[in-house]
Amino acid sequence: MTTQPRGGARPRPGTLPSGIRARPTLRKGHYGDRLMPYVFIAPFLISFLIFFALPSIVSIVLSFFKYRGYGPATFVGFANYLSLFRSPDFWQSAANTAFYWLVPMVPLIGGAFALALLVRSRFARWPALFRPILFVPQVMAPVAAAIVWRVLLSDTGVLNSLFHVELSWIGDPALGKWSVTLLLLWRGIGWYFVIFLSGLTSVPEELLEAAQLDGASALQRIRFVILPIMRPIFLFAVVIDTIASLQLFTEPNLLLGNASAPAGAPPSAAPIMNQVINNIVGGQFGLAAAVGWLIFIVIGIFSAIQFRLFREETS
Amino acid sequence: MKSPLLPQAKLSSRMGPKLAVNILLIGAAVLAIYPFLVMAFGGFKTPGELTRNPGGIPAAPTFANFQELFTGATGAQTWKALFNSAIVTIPFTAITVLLCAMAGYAFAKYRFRGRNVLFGILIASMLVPAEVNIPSLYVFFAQIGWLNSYQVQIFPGTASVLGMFMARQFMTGIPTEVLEAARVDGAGHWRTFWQVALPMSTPVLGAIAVLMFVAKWSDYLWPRIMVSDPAFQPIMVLLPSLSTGQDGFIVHYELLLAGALIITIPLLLVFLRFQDKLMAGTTAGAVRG
Repeated sequence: MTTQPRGGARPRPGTLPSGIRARPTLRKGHYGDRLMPYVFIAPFLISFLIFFALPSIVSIVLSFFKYRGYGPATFVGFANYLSLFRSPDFWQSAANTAFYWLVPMVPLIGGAFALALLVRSRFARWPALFRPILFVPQVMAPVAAAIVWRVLLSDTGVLNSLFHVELSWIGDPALGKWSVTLLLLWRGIGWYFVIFLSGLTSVPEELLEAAQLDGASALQRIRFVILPIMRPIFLFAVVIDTIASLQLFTEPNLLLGNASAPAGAPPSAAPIMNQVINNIVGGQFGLAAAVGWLIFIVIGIFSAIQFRLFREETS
Repeated sequence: MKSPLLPQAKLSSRMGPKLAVNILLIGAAVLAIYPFLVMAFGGFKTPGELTRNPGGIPAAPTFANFQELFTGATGAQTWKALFNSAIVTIPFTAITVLLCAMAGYAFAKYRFRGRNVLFGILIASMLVPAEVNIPSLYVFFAQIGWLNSYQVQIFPGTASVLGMFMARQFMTGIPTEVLEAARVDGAGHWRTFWQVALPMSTPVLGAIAVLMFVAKWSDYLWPRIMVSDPAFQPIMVLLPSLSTGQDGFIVHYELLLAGALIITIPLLLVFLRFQDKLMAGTTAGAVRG
């Protein structure tokens, strides 16, 4: 697992790796030498600027304009944002995305952590086998996963016939979001499990043994030894989960929706990304850009809060 | 469940938790695997059997779904879409790995003006979801005529900050003396990179490649928005659209399951061959601790 370079490879302040230009006397002032690092970075940077940085700036600007994709763009100030705030559809999809973020979070991260503890415990019989098996749902593409879960959850599907119930997992507006939650949990838990598993390797064995000698029970060792060391991993998991949840698109639309429209999920289960896509399809590019930036602002705020919270608790 | 190293008395006292832990883990493993089986079984079922027996082994396996998927009018679409997926995924992966390796190398092994600022900006940009840019990129690509093309699926996203970060982390660990030795022997900057640094970095380059391959092959949102012409659509966009096929409202789930099996096989093969790289790659950011 830990084939990657870890903290030890990081440059310490003051001892930056001087790299190939470690012989400044020999090559001092050589024009080509000073240019080389920029040459190496240039292709990456050009791709970054064209397909990421500039479009980000353009989309901020666009969010203050009314633009239909052709003809002139007219400046409308905050009108796009205001009309979103007045739209019940917008708030409904924002609430749906909050659901997809908050409801699976605890079982996803807590369950993954518990599984990692179990696999690392001395009781687990085949620890090396469980890692790939629990991760493998992540390998199934969301498109395939949505198809399979439609079969699992359809009226004559596996879940209903297994438990002899007749629930309309896909069709019922109240159940639809829970169906998406099941799919998200199934596909996502292995990813967080692998993160926690590699995080657990950073808990020093001696520390656990010392705690055990001092009479700490298994729960006490988790609470007072493992959890404090794992705090940054939890922070990382929560931030990644937040970002991924706000960008959620494929799963609800393909599990619950008709594939003939790009954003086919019914309004009761449509995520916030559908507001971006539907406005593009509808030729309302200013509105689409405004939704995109609202998503970014929310991600920024929550990431900042989460960093602050975890930092305070650690200090 | 027997451990010969443990004395008999201890063994019995540990049987309880050991049994419970392993039953829990096996249960989780079954839940993880079972949908794969439903997919694999379902692809070989008739419509009637899928309704009667959605989750079990097919009683009378049939190849009809695969025949439908790969022959006739549907077959032409399927082959074209699979071809499109491959022709997009392979160059995207190659270009991304090269750009990330070059930039990561510069950040790891050179000192230059603006290095830390630039690196900080790139890392901070990971907070901006790529989806924020879809509206402006759509307008941009519409104007330069890139909608419905291969290039719109190949070039955007090649500046992967995560990939660059992984490459840089790894390359920082390459001893500078090795690179200096190559320079002393007369190798230029590019040859030092290409013939010394790159070969030494194959583990991380492989991890980036696997990560990018899986992400591109699986991508749905981007091609769904940017490519409406079936001539350029990848399999991920074509497959769900088969559900609303010629005969209206009847959804052929057995056909979709057969297709899901087909699009999952390349990913499973990559996973089985490179599972450590894939798991290390997807979780790369976490190891920073």
